Amino acid sequence: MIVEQLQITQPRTGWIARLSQPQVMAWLLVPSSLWFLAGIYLDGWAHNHGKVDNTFFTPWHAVFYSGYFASALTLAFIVLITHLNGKIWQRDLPASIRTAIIAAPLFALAGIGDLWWHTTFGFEVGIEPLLSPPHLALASSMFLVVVANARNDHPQQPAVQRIPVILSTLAGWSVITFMLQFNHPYGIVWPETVRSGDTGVMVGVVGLLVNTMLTTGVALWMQRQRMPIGALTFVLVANALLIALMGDEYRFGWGALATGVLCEVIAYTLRAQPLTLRLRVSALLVPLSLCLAYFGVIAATSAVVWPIHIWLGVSVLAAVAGWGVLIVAPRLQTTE
Amino acid sequence: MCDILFHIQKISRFERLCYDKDYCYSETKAMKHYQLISFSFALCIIAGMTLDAWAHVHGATDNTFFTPWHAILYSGLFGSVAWYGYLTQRQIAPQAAHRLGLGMGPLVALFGMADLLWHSWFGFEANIQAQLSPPHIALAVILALLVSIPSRQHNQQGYLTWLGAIAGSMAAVVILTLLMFVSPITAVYAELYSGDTVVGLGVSGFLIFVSTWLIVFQWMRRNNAPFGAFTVASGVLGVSQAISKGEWRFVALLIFVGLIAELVGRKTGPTSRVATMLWPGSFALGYFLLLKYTSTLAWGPSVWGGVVVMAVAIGFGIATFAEPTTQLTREERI
Repeated sequence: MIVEQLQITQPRTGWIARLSQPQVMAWLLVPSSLWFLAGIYLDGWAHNHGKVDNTFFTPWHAVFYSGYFASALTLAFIVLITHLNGKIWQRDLPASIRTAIIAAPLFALAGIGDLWWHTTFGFEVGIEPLLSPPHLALASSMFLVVVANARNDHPQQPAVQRIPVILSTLAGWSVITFMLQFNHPYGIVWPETVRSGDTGVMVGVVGLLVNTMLTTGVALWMQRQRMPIGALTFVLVANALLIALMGDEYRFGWGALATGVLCEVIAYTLRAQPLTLRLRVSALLVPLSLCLAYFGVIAATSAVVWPIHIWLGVSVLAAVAGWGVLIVAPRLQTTE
Repeated sequence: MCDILFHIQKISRFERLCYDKDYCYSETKAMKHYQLISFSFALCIIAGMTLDAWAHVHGATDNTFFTPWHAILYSGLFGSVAWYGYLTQRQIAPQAAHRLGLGMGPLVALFGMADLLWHSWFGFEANIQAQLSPPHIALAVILALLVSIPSRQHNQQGYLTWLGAIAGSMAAVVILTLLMFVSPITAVYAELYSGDTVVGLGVSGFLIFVSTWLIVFQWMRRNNAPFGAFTVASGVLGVSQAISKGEWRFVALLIFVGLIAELVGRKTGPTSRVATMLWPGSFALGYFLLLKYTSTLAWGPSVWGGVVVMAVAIGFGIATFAEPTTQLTREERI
């Protein structure tokens, strides 16, 4: 009722109307989302390289939290211009932006929860900071803020207009890989570290499986969103380089590049085929090629000490897992 | 009268048994019987595989191929291939599903040969290598496809039958048996006081298990499985894994959480995210509570609490990913 009373019924013209365009809103959100993402990775890099002490006031936290405030302010600005344009944000904005608007204050609440958690259970050690519930709540709300642009409802848009969608997908995926870095294959490179002893091998295997399943989900999502040629390669390489920051394992960027190029070339070759076939090919090809490229990079730069039973087996298993992801992929709907 | 019609339609004596006495034209009734027979073979495969896993874990095997467990497994396998061969030969619908089942026969032979060659080239696998060896994975995928074929038979108007739903979920049981070394039901890492590596392994294993079974849940919801099918399937999974390692305490949890998720799913509707988030979250929470009160929970609240949150997040992610949002343009139509 209050919202309706406050509503300005006549849509504005001029700059307010221009800013209210969905494409313009998408571009408005890009800088703050990237800033926010840069903040979390800078902080992670600092933690992994001993550049932090016990104080909260570090340059990395400054980048991270200012990124949050920039994102929150941008979302508040979007609410304002939507209102000034005579529309209601709860009804007229895209669902993903509405979710981001709700998630922004949740981030602040999760921060308060984090303080309470530390007071009650003490500070986390080892891999606990990546698993602590308030940290995951912070990461989840951050994820919802940065994926505000990740859904493309206009597949016929020109490639330039889809850049915010690509960057938003990268940001969302990178938040997840950041939190899963404890089992990321680019963190501790188990295939060149442990030959025998099942624990190390198992950690390496499950890390590969979790991350290839996730990557397959991202690739299928991008294919569904009709991303332009080069988008998948860009996202794979950028994510690989971001996670490489944590352990200085930049060599895996080459593996991501090879995977992206191979998958895009095959997708381009099959462009005349039905979308379901292309998705099936991608569901098998992305995890398989990602694993093989990973082992290829290790073989080229040092040595794969895992026996063939394991390194080839986990690659095949990743392809099976990719097929499993396809089972829950969105159903195709046709429009007239 | 029926006999004459059967004779005209060249319906064999065996097929006549599948038809109802009173409704000799009842295709549906016949399909139910075909599905029941297919399901029996699938159950035989799952039983053989579970017993074989139990035998390997409990040292009840030697170096021979000819064990009672293999006998059950392979009789189920070859029986189902022969059965699908028969259905294909009789051109009984759905022919694509039956041809798929028949096609698994040569594939088993092919990958069986590949396995022999693999062993002669690269030697025999030790420990978890056996579960990760490519020919073994290929054979497991063949088994998964074979047991899932009843889910492709006799589904009317987009609704899965009971047997179809359970058979489809048994494909995931096969894959989870392969991944038993990280399954939280069979490898309870949360009980171990250990370093970050083992904690990371336990957490990752938990996430893989939850994601895989959540895919089954989402698949059943999407295909309108009958109420209770997911609960029964969870029970089958729990029993299958419990037999292998003797960890029976999680079976009741799987059944209870499955039932709660189904009840909530029924209340909130087929596209609601609530049930998809509830199942993993409540399973994770119940799992850790069960450990705390039945043995030891070695993980701190930052870890087990985080796993619960992650499980819920996986549910949200899968539910969002599965949303039918993509609109195909005229050119992309299939």
